Amino acid sequence: MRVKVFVQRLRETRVIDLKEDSRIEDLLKMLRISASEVVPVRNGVIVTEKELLKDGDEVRLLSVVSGG
Amino acid sequence: MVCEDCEKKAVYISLSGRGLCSKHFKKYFETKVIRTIKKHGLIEYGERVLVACSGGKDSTALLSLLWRLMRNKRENIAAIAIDEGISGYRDVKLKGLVEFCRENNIPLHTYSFKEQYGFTLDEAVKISRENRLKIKPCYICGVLRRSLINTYARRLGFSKVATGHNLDDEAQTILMNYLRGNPSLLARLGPKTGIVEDEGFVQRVKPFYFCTEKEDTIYALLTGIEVDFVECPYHVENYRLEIRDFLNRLDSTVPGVKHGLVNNFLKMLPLLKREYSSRSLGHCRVCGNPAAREVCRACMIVEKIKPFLRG
Repeated sequence: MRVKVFVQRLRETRVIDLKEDSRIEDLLKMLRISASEVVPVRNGVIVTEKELLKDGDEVRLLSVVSGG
Repeated sequence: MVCEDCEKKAVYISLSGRGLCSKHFKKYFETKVIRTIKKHGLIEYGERVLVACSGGKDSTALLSLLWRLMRNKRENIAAIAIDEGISGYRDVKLKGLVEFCRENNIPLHTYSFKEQYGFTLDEAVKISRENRLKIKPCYICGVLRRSLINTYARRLGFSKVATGHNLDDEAQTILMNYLRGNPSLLARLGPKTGIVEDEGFVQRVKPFYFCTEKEDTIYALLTGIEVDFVECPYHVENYRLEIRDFLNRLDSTVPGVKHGLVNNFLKMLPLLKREYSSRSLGHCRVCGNPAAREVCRACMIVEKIKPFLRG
């Protein structure tokens, strides 16, 4: 499956291919982002790292760290 | 994953593995903050509290929560913001804060480095670099900002300054001072800052002390506070950044290290405070704020920068 991911800290949008039944935590592992650094928002809704992803999902990884 | 309390979709998983929906997460977060305030005596009944705001999500979320909790005593709460003069950064952040305070009718006191000291942080950093004064931007910013907040909190008659510092901030500061061998600075930490009591000091308190940065962010998002990511241009020179990334990496493999670090530190804190409480404080001969030396650190910075100002 293919998901669109926006990484707020990098201000970057990527399209990523993942195995079926992948979860947000798998995506974070792939991007080498620690779960404590981001709040995942899937299709506009805040979700946990355990959330299952579906083909075509749009995920925003909002940075929890302040910029200053 | 669903909420343990109502089986709605979870937005957060606690350290103990408990799933919470948006409604129950807000309840969990607010209960934790109220418990911190009560247990550590951060704000006593009738006290006047000034919330130090940067325009970021943590301090805005704190302001929003305290404003609601103190709804029967709103004359006792206000916000303070310092504009250091960091072009493209603080001006952007303060714009949102001004808007937030206006929408909620919260009194906001704003002061700037330029009007108080005669230079912006950008100008001070330029002078320091050009003249090899070796004063780091974060040091100038932190010392001058704290000094102004303390001065105006006292003048405006507030007995506490509340800051949005969270568990991540505290864990980083503990480790930074520990690694640098600064036990006297460690003694100043905790939910209530300071070691020595002096009427010139307005005590700083941290109601979000036991909340992680991730929890603060979710709370801010759920209460409609904008969570942007505008990076301070001086951030790259920051030792804290390396410690923060190290702790976050470690926390993903060993969950709870930040909680462990802070909770164990709190067990040692009374010993550190006892050890360093005998130091006597005088008052700065320039500004009158409490100081360990004849001239406080803020006035020393100003004395170093001012001779290089043009005009």
